[in-house]
Amino acid sequence: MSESRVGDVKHEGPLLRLEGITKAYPGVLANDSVSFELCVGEVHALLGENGAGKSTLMGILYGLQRADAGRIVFGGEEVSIAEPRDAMALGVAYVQQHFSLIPTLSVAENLVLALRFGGRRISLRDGAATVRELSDRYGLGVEPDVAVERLSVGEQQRAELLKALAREPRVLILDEPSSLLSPDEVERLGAVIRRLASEGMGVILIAHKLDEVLAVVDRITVLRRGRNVRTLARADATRELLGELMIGELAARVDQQPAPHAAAGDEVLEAVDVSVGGDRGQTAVDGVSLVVRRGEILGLAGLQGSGQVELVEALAGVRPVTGGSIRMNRRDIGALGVRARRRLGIGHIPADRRRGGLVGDLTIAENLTLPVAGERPFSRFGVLRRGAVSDHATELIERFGVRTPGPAVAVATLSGGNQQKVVIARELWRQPSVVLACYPTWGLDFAAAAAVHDELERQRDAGAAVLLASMDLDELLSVADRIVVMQGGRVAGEVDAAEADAKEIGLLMGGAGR
Amino acid sequence: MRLVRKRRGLLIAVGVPVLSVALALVVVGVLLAANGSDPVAAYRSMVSAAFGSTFALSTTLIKTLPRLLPALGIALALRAGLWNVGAEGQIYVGALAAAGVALFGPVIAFPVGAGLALVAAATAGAAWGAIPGALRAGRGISEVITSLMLVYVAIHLTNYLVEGPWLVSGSTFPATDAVPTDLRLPIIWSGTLLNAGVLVALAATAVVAFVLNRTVFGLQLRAIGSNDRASRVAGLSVGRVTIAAMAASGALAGLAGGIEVLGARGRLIEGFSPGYGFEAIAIALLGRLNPLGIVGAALLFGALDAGGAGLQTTAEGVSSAIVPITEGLAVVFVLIGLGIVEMLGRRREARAMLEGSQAADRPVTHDGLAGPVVGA
Amino acid sequence: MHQDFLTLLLVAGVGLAAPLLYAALGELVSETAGVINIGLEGMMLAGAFCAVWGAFVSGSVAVGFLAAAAGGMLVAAVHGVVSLVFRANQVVSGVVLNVLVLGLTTFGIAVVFGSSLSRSVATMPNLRIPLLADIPIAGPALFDQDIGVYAVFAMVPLLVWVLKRTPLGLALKAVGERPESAASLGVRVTALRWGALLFCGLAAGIGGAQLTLAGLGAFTQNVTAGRGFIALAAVVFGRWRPVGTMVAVLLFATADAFQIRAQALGIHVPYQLLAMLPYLVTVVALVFVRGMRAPAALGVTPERA
Repeated sequence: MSESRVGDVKHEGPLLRLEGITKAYPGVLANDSVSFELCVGEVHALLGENGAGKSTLMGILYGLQRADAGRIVFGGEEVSIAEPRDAMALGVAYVQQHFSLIPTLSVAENLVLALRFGGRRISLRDGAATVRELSDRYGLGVEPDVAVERLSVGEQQRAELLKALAREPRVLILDEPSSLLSPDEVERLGAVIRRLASEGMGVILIAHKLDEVLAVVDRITVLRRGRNVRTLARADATRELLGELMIGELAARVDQQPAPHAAAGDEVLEAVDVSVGGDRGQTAVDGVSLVVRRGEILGLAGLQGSGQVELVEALAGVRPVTGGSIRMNRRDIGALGVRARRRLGIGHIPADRRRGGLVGDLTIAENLTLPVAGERPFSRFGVLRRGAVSDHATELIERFGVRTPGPAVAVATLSGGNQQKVVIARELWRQPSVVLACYPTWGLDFAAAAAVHDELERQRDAGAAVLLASMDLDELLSVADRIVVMQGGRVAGEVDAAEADAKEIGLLMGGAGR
Repeated sequence: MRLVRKRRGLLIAVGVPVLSVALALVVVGVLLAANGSDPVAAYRSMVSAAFGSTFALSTTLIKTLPRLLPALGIALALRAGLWNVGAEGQIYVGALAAAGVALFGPVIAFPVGAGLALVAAATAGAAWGAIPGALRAGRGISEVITSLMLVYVAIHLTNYLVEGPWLVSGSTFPATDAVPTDLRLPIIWSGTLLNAGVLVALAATAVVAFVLNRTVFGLQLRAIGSNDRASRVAGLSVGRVTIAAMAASGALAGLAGGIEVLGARGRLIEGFSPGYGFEAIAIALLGRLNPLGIVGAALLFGALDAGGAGLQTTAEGVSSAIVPITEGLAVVFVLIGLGIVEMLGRRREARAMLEGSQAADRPVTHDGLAGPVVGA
Repeated sequence: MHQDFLTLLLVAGVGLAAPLLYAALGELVSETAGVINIGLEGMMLAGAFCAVWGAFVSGSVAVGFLAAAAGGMLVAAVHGVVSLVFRANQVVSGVVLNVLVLGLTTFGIAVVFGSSLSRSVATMPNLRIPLLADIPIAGPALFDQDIGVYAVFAMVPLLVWVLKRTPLGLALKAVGERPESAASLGVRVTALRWGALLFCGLAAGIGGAQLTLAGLGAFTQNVTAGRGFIALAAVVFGRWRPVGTMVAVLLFATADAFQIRAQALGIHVPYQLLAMLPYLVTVVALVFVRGMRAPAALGVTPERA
């Protein structure tokens, strides 16, 4: 598939043009006079780091936001898109990253709703038939009558795509479609996209990683800090050039070899045949065994839905284990809650700092104190000792380099990078013997991510056993000592980072190989 | 639920409620005028009945009592993200417990005897609040529905006891015997009916404020009210805090019920609460979930109640309706007023951003922005 | 003797169920769309008052019903303005409206009739369906009632059909489950919520009319006496489905009818304990029955981007 037709599609002139789009939000200029063009039958990638303005631009195209300045030209005529209805009327379909299907309804019912409010009346029976027809035509494998909440993540995403295709759009926007898919499924999706393009549909792919993009597209537009930095043909785009455009400096691309350090010590944390349930009642982790050693960073690689998050949460005591046991220093700690494990020396940097990590309305000091508020010196007889709390916070802010006017500021006002520093400070200040970090650099820019990596390495060098769960292979290869790959809730393989082959790991993550 | 807005000025916090009450009184005046009564005379008699003499003032305070405590309880629960809609029921079970202890228990002089009865009232209220709390903590069942259901269970239970086993023998009026004098809350303002309950309420207000801001429990409460997932990950036992918060909330409401029985009324009367527990929800919000604000709001409603009782009108039943009408209108206007302020505030903020008047080191808010489409 | 008792019990049960069912079905539609109405009691009470007032002034029961519908809708409109437009919390808004409506109707009755009890007004005649009404035991209960009763029970299959098989029903469910998704589909979320809310007001108002015009024939202060809350319980107990709600209402109403008649049978169950039943039973169901899931976005007013 990767060799087919890329770069030689005949373009018939612009189907869609965005000119001079500008949009500002409180505190940030999301789009700064951006121009973008899409031709008939073209697959055009919109590339940029998190926060570069890609989703804002597409949101404006789809009528979810209104631009402050600029115009949209469709098929040669200027149009006004005030709400999604207008965009849909023009033939624009948007498959977003978060799922938009109504979970308690079936795919067919969702389709009927979508079509009806797009102007086409269709009965429920016809809806089911349409689902089957589209599913067969594009090889999507979606069942019409099952409630969406009962489908797997991959199936849900294909159902989203099907819903968009049912309106026979002229322009299809896909937002980071492959973030949830295995390499196999990415290929399958790529084939579907090329098929759609060959039928004349214009496809816009929003992406922030380099690989998924290169294989399928005709042109790439790179956004950085709200500006269109360059639009180039696929043939001219190399990984290095794209990386440089996205980041803006000669990407000091992280050395893929970790710096040498002392060899790992004994086992500290052990998972023995652990099974854990997921949020929707599924088996998220199925009989996983692994070991984290003193003075080592163990990377846990996997895609979304591989069970990494659930496993880390189980190790931390946030999520109950449904089978197997967890041992620390040979002792079974399965019955212990989060507080008890923290006292044993387990620190947990959770996956989503905003929702699962910090309490936004509370101050930095309160967040830092929260897990230990009941202990001396922070309180006595249940009453908080403000002096101790404040001093503690000031000390940690300094030590972990949090940029803030003071400890009494609400954490919600901090930037992402600083918020993550607060989480890290909260978890690591007592030098835990085990550090469980789950997606710690998610949504952070290059400098902030590097700071996180530095801290993890510092902990490791001080003798902690570190588990780093991540979906980013580059990160794992440059930071971890060993890498365990999870796929579909099981361990798919284990490799030594120094000798590892990125492609092999990628295959393991996707479910191929061994 | 972000109900605590730290940036709102004191002006708005006080101004909107006061303006709303004034507006409500105007509407009521119109209604009275349409009915042939003289609104100005009505206002005058209301003001004098609420503030015009020491007796009036004491009446206002007495009427403030049963509203203040439940409102504090509701605010406490709300800071933890929990809706204690069942305060009315907790008031009744508190009253039941106090009456039970007072009527059938040992007669001990003040303060021990009354103290025991009040403790019983608070405990009963706590239990009645803990039930929805436990169901929410254990099964995720909405405490709105469960606490609401328990309100009517409590009311019917009270009715059963008061009309049946506890009824004054030979009487048809649905009330119990009077509580022994030793167990009554003593009058603290001679010449009036104001009893020691008001001291209990003031103490409770201080305690609630202290707990919220200066204790570990208060911190945990506010944490789970803001983000219960993060609190869980940080090691808090959300379930335990939930139950404790609802129990504390119920205890305060139960205490109010006990004070009503041992204080002004001196006995348990069927239907003694004309909806104090429900009004308390409005009072808690009017007071912006802040103990001081709640005292102010409760006083306002207490004054309205006292004033309304003193109203001289032509038709029977009109005077008793004035109070709920005024209160209801006032809260509706407050809710609308606060909504307007919120809308204006947002618009002003957005415009300021666009004009770049934000300081240069204002943090990049990509990660902090809500909404699914922005900042991916 | 027992047969007569059973027959009369069922007749009374169905009759008592009708006002409740109107309110409950209205609330069901509203909650399906994500709007919770603690103020249901107030809507019913407003309807009850307007029905009596309208019937008294015009001498016609039909006008009474129309007035009731308008009254209920007016209260619903205020709830909508406060919670949907000005985005106040729906629970608070509802609670406050109950207080306000109680006060206004008490005032109203004093003004119109000069006391807290209205004069009797014309009530609705029964419509007896021949043959079917002669079926033993259940016949009279089902086929010898007034039109209001027939209408509300006819609403049940209608609602089942609308919610399950029409795009409108799907849209309502979508709005109550995930308003953001519905909005991105092009569904007019706010308009639908308003529609559902006004329908609830309409239904609850008519329920109030059914209570006063079809049953009691008069209005007293706080005549609804908590029925709105029983209706709320019924929706929960019925799992937010039309048939389930109907069953719940029938159960509660029959228990109520039973308690009124139990005295005559010499059964001395304290009526207050029976009065507790709907509420206790609902809580028990919530604890022990699976699948009691409210619409996910119930009570949440979504942001506009």
